[in-house]
Amino acid sequence: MTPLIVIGGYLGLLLGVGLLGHRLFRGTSTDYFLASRSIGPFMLLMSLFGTTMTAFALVGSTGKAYVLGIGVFGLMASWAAIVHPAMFHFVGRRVWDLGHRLGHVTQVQLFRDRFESPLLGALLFPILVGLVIPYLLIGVLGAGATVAAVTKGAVSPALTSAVVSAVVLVYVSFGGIRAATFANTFQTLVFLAVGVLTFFTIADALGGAEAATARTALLRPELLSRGDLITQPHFLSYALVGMSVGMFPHLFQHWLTARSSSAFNLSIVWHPLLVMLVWLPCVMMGVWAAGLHASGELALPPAKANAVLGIMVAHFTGPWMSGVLTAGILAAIMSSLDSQFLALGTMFTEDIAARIDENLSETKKIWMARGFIAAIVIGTWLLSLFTTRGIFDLGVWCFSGFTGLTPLVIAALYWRRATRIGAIACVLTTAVAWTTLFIASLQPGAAEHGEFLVGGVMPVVWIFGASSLALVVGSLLSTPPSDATLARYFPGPEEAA
Amino acid sequence: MRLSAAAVATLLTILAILHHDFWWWNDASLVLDWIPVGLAWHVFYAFLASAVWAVIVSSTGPQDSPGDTP
Repeated sequence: MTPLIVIGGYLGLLLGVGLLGHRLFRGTSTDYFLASRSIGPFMLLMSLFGTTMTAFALVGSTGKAYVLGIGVFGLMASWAAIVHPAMFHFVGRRVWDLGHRLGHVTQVQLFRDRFESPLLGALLFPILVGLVIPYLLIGVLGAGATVAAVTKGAVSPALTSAVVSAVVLVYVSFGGIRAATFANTFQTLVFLAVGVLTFFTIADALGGAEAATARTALLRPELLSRGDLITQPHFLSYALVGMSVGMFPHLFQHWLTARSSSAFNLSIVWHPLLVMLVWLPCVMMGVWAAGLHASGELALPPAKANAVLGIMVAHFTGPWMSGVLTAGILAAIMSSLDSQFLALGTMFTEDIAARIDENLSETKKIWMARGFIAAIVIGTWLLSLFTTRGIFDLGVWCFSGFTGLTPLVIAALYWRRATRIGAIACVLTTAVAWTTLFIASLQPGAAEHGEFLVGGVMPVVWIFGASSLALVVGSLLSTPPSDATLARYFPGPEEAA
Repeated sequence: MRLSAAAVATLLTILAILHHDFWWWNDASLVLDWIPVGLAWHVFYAFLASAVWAVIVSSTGPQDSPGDTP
């Protein structure tokens, strides 16, 4: 009962912080969707980082390290140290600049305008929504699995998912992205602190970090190196998974909230360190849990890897600490859910509703976004009741789809010769390649080294390669964009200023 | 000092190569008695990456100016 009181208290506090953002709401759709482009460096860092770290990073990484060992850190976290800042620096800043000058609010608006193609917009909308939904599922499933483990099954995953989704829905609906940014800042600080606290608390309960690692070294030594668990091509191919952040609709929206291009600097420099701070404790706890399982001190089959973190917290901490630590895990999960829900609401309003009725009032726009967000929240919750895939694997498939679309944003920003035919070919190729490989991964016995690999590497390599090729070939075989469009997207230094 | 595009590309390429630490691949020895060396390297790598980005941002990125929207 005690953990539930602490978690309930945290959710109440979070609602308060989120609704504080509502008090500053200026009543316009620009403020609701983009916080009037007023977010400074620190809050941008907190919201970009908080949005990027989800159940995948905490619950998923611990579960994956439980199966694959310490190499999991290099697969995702340290690639994120180079690839994510690169995306913020080379893509985010330029997107911010274009949004500032040309008034874009969504990715679809940017691509439709840059490639002079309403058809491209119509194709992209369902694909982006379809890719965000599994990402939402990761959060909802992670919250459910954690609380169920901590309460030893007393609270069902379905109930936790419903409560967490409802809390996020309330503050996002009221305050838009300003409320999400306030809540993200608060939650990011909470989960950073709690992550470190969890690590030290559990290490202490296991007789110290040295003793905990020694147990794994004795019983599961293969988990302390990559050895045969992760091959070198497999390891290398994860670089492309991280590129997905270049096409996340929710990050795109956060980039546009920045008050200046220089506001990105703090995020670019600090992101690698913050990612490490979150992933290191999680990976070590996953490895320690495997040692405990091998010694018979922790009953947990690998198929239940999503629950590793929750079970460790429940097993090795007291009720109050257990509540605090669980609240921290939920903070990481909800700091992504809010931005994802809002991004979908924004896309529906701007890319669908406002296209159908060009005279849509500001108030109607905001209410339409709220209605769509509510529908997505309910739909995601229903889907979560029937999903059984591991969080890490679900996340990687979702990221692979976004990575397939990343050539689109890079070409839109840096390649003048990129055309609408190339862009459409890129999107269609991503959809076909992703669907084909995903279906293949469902075949029994398709996994090797704990994952579905094609030619020894992650499917993302083939998806990204095919979509890049389609973009280049399609562009070179078709007519270049008009001079007017190129002048707006690639202005000389004087016009850009 | 402003870094050229070639210098930025070189720094990022070196950083990407250092990520692929094949030299620790099969080594399970421990640093500080609790952290496997293959993981310790990647913790160090996070600091290195942050430093490289600090250099790139300070020499190529926009800096705060009085003209920024408050």
